[in-house]
Amino acid sequence: MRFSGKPRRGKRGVGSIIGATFIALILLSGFTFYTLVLSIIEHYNRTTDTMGELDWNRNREKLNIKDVKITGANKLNVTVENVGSVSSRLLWLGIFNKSMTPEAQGYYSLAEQVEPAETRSIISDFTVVKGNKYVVQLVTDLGNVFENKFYPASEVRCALTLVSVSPTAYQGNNITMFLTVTHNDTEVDTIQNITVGLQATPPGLVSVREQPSSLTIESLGRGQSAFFRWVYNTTGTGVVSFNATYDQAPIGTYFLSTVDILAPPAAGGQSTVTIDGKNCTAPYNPSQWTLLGSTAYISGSVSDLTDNDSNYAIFRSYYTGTNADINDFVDNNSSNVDGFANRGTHSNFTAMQYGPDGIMDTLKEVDTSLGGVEQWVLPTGFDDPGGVWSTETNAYDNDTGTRASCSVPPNSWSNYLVLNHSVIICSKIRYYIGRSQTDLSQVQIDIYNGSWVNVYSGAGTWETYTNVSFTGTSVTQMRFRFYNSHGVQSRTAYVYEGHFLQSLPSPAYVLDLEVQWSGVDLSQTNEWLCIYGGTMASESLLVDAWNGSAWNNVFASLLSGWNNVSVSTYLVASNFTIRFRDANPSGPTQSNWNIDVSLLHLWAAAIDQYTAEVEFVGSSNVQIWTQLVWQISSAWDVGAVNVTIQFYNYALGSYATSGDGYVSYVSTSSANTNELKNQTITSNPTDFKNSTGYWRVRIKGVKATSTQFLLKANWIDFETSYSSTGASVPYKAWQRYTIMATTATGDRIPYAYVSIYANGTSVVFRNATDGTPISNPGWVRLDANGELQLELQSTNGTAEAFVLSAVVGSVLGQKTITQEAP
Amino acid sequence: MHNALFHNKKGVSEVIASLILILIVSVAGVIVYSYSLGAFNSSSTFLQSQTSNEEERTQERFSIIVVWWSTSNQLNLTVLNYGRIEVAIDAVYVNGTAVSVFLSGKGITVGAGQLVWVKFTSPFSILSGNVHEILAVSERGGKNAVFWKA
Repeated sequence: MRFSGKPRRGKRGVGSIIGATFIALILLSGFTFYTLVLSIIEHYNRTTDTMGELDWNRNREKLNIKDVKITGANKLNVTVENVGSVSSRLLWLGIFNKSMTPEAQGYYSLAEQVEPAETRSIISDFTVVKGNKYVVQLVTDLGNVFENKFYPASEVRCALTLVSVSPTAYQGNNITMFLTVTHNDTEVDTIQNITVGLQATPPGLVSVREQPSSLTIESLGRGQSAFFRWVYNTTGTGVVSFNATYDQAPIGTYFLSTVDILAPPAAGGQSTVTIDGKNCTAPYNPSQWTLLGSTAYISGSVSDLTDNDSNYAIFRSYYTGTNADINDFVDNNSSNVDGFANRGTHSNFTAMQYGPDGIMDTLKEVDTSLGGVEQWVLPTGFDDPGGVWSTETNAYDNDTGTRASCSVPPNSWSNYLVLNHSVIICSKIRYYIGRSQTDLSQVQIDIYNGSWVNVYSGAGTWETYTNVSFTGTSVTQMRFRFYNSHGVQSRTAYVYEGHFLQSLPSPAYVLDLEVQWSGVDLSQTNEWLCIYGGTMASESLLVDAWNGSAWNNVFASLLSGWNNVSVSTYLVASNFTIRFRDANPSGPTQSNWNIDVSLLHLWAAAIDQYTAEVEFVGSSNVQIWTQLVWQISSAWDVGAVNVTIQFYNYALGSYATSGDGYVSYVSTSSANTNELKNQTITSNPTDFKNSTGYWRVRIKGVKATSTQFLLKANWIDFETSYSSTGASVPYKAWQRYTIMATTATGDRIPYAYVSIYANGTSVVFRNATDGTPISNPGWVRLDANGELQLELQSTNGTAEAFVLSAVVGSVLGQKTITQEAP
Repeated sequence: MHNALFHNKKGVSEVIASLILILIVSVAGVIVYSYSLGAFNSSSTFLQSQTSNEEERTQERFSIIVVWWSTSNQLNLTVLNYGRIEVAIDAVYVNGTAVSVFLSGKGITVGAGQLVWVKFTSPFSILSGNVHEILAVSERGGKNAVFWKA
């Protein structure tokens, strides 16, 4: 029992242990798996949290591009402010050039950290171009993109506001102009440079006292405004319109404001002295010159032309006489004016186009004959009028073994066998005939030279060549017939061969060669054909000239050396043709002639002449002229020069040829004498300047002389007159003012003495009525109307503002005047 | 002893039965354990893989920050990777039409904070002034779309 009971209890325990072990292993594996899953989920959650935080931060990130500018080095200066609640790390700076098509895009890496509330400026490494449209982009580490459209002023319509303080002012008081430029465009974020301007119309009523230190702002962000301030002094009375705008502003972007300037009230019943500008006469001189033709500069400068003194700009004339002496060499040998082809040859036609230099063109005759010989020629065809002959072509196949044949009836003549040829000179034929019996007792042979001519009748010679001679003539045919004397039987006649002896003429050497000139100058008085001959043949060489319809002999026999003859009679067209021909056109021997050169010598009697011509150019103003007065003083180092002075009329587009702007004269017979010419133009004087105020005058002197002469330009003055308030006067201009004294009730004060003074550096006065000088300061009496017509001139080397004061009694009148730069 | 062993057949069968039971239990235990290990392993591998893919997708962020147009039919997308993992653009759609002709940039992997330029030919003509929806798709399936006015 114990033996069997113990093992049974022990085995049960082992199985349980094993099972429990496996269960434990399985549970352990499951726990491990669970732990792993938890770890994975936890890691995933951490990642999700991280990315969620990134998204959260991204939403909280906010940057403001406060300003964009272009630096002096043309680099981009971007000012950015972090207005968000997280730090921003800038990764990329993008720049897009919208002015290009397609637009250019570029990104440049950054490593900038901008903390919350921090403002940072970023200077680009690259350069940009002012005036281009750019989009600036900042890219952050969190994935946000911030853009700024940075456009030039021409692309933006800003709001302008111009306020005048006060809108009404008394003359002499100051007015202040406030300009506000507001960037209220909804598309553009930042405007590049804006340069504002303020223009007063008319300009003479006010003068600038103060103006902004800078009229340019480098950039203007959206919603921002820029402010500018001017102070003007009112110098005249009337309504002044101020127009404010900015450079390259879109059309219609401006603001107008008007100021009414009133005459100051008479304070406490005082008298008044007023100074009103009337008109201005501004003189100008040339600033440069241009030499025309071959005129040469000798000495002097444009500064010598500003005064009528003894200083000159001197120019030397050039030869313009007519001394034409033309050797026009023959041009070609390809003409055919008479319709007959050239006969003969040139060995070297080019040689005839130069020289004389010993290089010859040999003209050689050509043989127009066939060589001067006789030859037997075969007929080229036949006729068989009776249709009785057979194998007719055998009669001219140059073979005596073959024949044409014909049956001849008894006691009858046969029909003709006719052999043909084109016309030839012929004085002999030969035949080779045969017969079946001797009953063919007679033979008749004829030739045709326009009619049939019998050249042989008789018993004939049989079975051999036999010649028949006759007087030479032009022959086209021969014919044969035979007579059968048998009384009852027919007989057969044979023609083996029939030949013509062609007589060729003797050699006939001919020369007929055309040569031609083209583009001949027909204006010269003398027109000669000149041919230089070399070795000549014994046979004469003739030269004919073609007059357009026929040949005319000009040389009956060319000689060695020069052969010259006038051809004016025949030279009627620019193409001129001659021909070389031999004296004996059918000579038996060939002749050669050497020609060195063929030319037309064209000339006229010489007329010596010299010309000097110079164009002077100067600037002036763009006012509307009421009058133009020009004065030119010049001299010549010889007398009696034909002089023409012409101003350029821009309305006509050419130099004046008569009337205004034109003077023509013969200079004095005394050399080196200044002569002053002038002209006052009141009809359309502005025709004599271009849109920018430039003017031109041309001085030309011509004299028929063999001596070169000089043009001595002394003074060129171009005075323009125009209406002007006198607030601004050009350098050296005479500005006219009316100074008037009135009582408190507005009555004129006649004959009152006025003390006048201008505090400019170089100001002089003169009486506008009679031109008499007035000292500065001066003491002058007013006229019966209580007025003084004063002219003022300022010649300071630079622009200058000064005050013209006029005092009558204790009453002061003043006017601020600005002299323009020279 | 000999009799007890060879004549007491009831006792022998108990031993054998016990051994057999032990054997059965052991084999069954091995089988069940092996199966459970395999199931755990495959489950954990699958879970790990799925979670890893999802995690990568979660880390991926990219954005089309500007579009360039050649004025003919060529377009260029500037794509910023602002995620925490590298990204590669795999496909682009213009107004829902897939781009088939890529000139550059497709499949190029860029790291975090980097830009990639994807240049391609539009599947249809671009007309100035028209607005187009451009959708970029990464190799992980991430998307970013912009409305761009030509």
